[in-house]
Amino acid sequence: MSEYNVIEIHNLSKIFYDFWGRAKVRALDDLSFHVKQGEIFGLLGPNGSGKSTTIKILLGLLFPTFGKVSVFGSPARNVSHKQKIGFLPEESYLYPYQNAEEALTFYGRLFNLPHKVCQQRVDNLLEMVGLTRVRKRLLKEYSKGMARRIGIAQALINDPQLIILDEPTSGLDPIGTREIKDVILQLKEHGKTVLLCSHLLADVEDLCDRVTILYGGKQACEGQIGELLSNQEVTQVVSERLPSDKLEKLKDWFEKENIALHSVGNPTERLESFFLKTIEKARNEQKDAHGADAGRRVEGLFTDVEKTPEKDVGAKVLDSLVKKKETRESEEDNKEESEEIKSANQADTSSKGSSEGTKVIANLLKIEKPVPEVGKKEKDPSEPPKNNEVLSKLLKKNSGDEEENEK
Amino acid sequence: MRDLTAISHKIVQEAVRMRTPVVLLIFVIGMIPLMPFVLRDDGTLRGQLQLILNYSVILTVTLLSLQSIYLTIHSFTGEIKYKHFFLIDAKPVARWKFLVGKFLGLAWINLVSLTILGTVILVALYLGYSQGSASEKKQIRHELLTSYRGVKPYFDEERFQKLVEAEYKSMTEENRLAQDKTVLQIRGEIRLRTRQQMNMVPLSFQRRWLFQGIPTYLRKMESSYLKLRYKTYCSNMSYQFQCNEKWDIGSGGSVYSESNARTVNEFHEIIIPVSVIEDDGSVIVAFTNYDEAAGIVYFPVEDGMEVLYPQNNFLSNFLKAFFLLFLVLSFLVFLALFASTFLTFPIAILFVMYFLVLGMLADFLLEFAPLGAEILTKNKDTLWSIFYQKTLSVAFGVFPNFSEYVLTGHLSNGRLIEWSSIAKGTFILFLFKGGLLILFGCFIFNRREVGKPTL
Repeated sequence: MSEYNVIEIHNLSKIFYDFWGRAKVRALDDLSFHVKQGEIFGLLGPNGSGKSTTIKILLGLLFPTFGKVSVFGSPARNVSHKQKIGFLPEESYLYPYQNAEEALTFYGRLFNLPHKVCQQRVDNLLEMVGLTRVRKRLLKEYSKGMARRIGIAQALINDPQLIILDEPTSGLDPIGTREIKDVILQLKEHGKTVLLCSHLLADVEDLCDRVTILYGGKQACEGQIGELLSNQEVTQVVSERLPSDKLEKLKDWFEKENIALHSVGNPTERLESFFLKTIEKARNEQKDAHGADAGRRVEGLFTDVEKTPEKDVGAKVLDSLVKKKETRESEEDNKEESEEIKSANQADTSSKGSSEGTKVIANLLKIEKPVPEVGKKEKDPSEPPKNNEVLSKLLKKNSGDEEENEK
Repeated sequence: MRDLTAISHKIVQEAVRMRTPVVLLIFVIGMIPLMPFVLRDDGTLRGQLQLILNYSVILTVTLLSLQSIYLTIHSFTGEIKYKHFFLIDAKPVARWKFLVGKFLGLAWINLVSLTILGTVILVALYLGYSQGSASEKKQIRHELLTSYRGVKPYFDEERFQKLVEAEYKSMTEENRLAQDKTVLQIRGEIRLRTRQQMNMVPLSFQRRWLFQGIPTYLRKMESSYLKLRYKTYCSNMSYQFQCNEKWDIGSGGSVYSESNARTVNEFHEIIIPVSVIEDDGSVIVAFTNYDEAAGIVYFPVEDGMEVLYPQNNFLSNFLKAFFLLFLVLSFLVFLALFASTFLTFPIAILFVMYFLVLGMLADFLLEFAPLGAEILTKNKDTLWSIFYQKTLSVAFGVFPNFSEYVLTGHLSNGRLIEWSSIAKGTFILFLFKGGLLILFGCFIFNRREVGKPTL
């Protein structure tokens, strides 16, 4: 991760005025944060906290009332730096009368991409988001999830350096969510900076390096996600299944040592991994579906047909993807794959749920598993469990409800 | 450049998918064959074709104007309302490019629509022409399928001014000036009266007019001819009264004479041989009033006499007329884009429609502006009347008079559309006024917070 700040926001305030010039709403109040190159930065907060306003200011859709905003070192309204930005809005604001291919070509042409490059990227992105088969269908006939996939594809059409994602997984099914999360991790792996704005705390927890939490337009807290979530007061030990007599001994030992034991039992499987396994089973039995396919990692996603030195940046993404794939392919055979699926199906600890889920889906969909935890720390069983409750508590805490937090 | 073409291509795509131009084309094309059964003409094939031409062009320009306004405003405000523009503004596309791209797309739609409809109208005209007899075809060729340039009679402004001054002096000396009128109003009345007197031919009198600037090369073209176009009134107010007229056109050894009875209060055309043109390009026209039943014969000042000479074929005139229509439609697109930068859908439509109606009625409104001032100020030049007239003149100076550019009358009457009209349309209407609108539009749109929450 570079120390270069892709986004810098200093003392940003945004006030909305009414027709007569009277201040009606202070959407942002003295907000300051920065996003480093190559990191996934989460922007969290309840409804009306100012997340979308911040994103709109970053994109020049709104102008700051006070404060300074810079993206790639230049003011947010500068048009030229938008060449390096990909944006996925809260809803996929696509033209209903275009089909998927036309929509992506249109956005590609807005970046002045050469025709051949544009066509290749459109093909690759459609394959990546699993919409190749319905590329000629009008977007107004798409489901919300399919429209979301096209939205994500258009955000990546220019091989952006900074990707701003506003609720990227809203409207997606768990498989789609997993795929998008994998794509985000792939992007990070290739040095892209991601600003992620989401209500889904599990997504943020799985993906983000750092987060800032907004409440009422003000910054409630900011920091490394690991630091914010670690609970130093509790220790968790995960072991293979213990017989009841050994379990009793263990309880006695805790009692003898005067250590408070909060819970003992079998951890439950995460719904996400359970769902993915069920779908895998169903897919094996039922061959065809009419909507979107499962997405794929696409070789040469950002490879330009006519390479220029600048475009080679995009080509690197491809190169690294291809190399990794080839290496792994030579190492893995079908037997190993089936074993992995089996082991993934058996793995059911909640702390490993996310990573195992990734393995499962990667095998199910026969896609490249995007390196178990790309840009993400391998979860240590001794590490306290990360769960959404912690982030929820944080939100509550920072919204001023201190009493409840102490409880 | 690809970004501009992408935006323009997208609006064409939007229009096609909305099927607006297709519906419009079908409507106009469907109306043309119905016109001969719906419209009343003078019973001749020429009259029928003139009416078809006139109404189909008016229908075309009206519907295309409405389509341009609707498509522009619907597309632009829809982008903001449904937040499609968020995705465009997040791309490296300057906002002025968005406006210009929209304009290019709409201009392309108008160009294609005009081309298709123009072709259909031309085909309809030539089909009608091919059905006529030899004499009808000749009449159509002379009166519709040839475009003429008109020359007004020479007018000695200096002499006229002296006559007006002499009359005013005489009225002052004889104390005949109206007390409730201003000097300007009195002078205006004297000018009008004197002008009418100059075009008046009492019984047994002859009046002559001099026409200058007619090209002498026409004399060498045997098939060529001149036309005298005129209209008369007379003291006899009987319905469809026919006045006996005697015309002597030319001077010296080459005089064309004609005596005929023609209906008053209607336009007539006399075909004149080109031999009457003098070496200096002038033609002398003399009218003798010898009809006792007619009394005094008047030639109106407004629709005055003209000598017409052929200049071009119909097709080139038709293309010029359609090019001017394209400029008018382009101006409307500029106006609609400008309105959309700061107004929402229904308000922007009303705003542009207001100026469209104002531009269409500009001639009529300008004619009645002085009358309005008089009513407003009870015939006195007060501050209010001056303010009223000045405001009107500024308003009509700023906003275009569309009747100057929608020249359907020129097409159906076989009048040449001058290159000066094309130049005026291109530079004043399109580049200057349209350019100013788009510049203001860019200025406003660049400062607009499109991401502002709307209720």
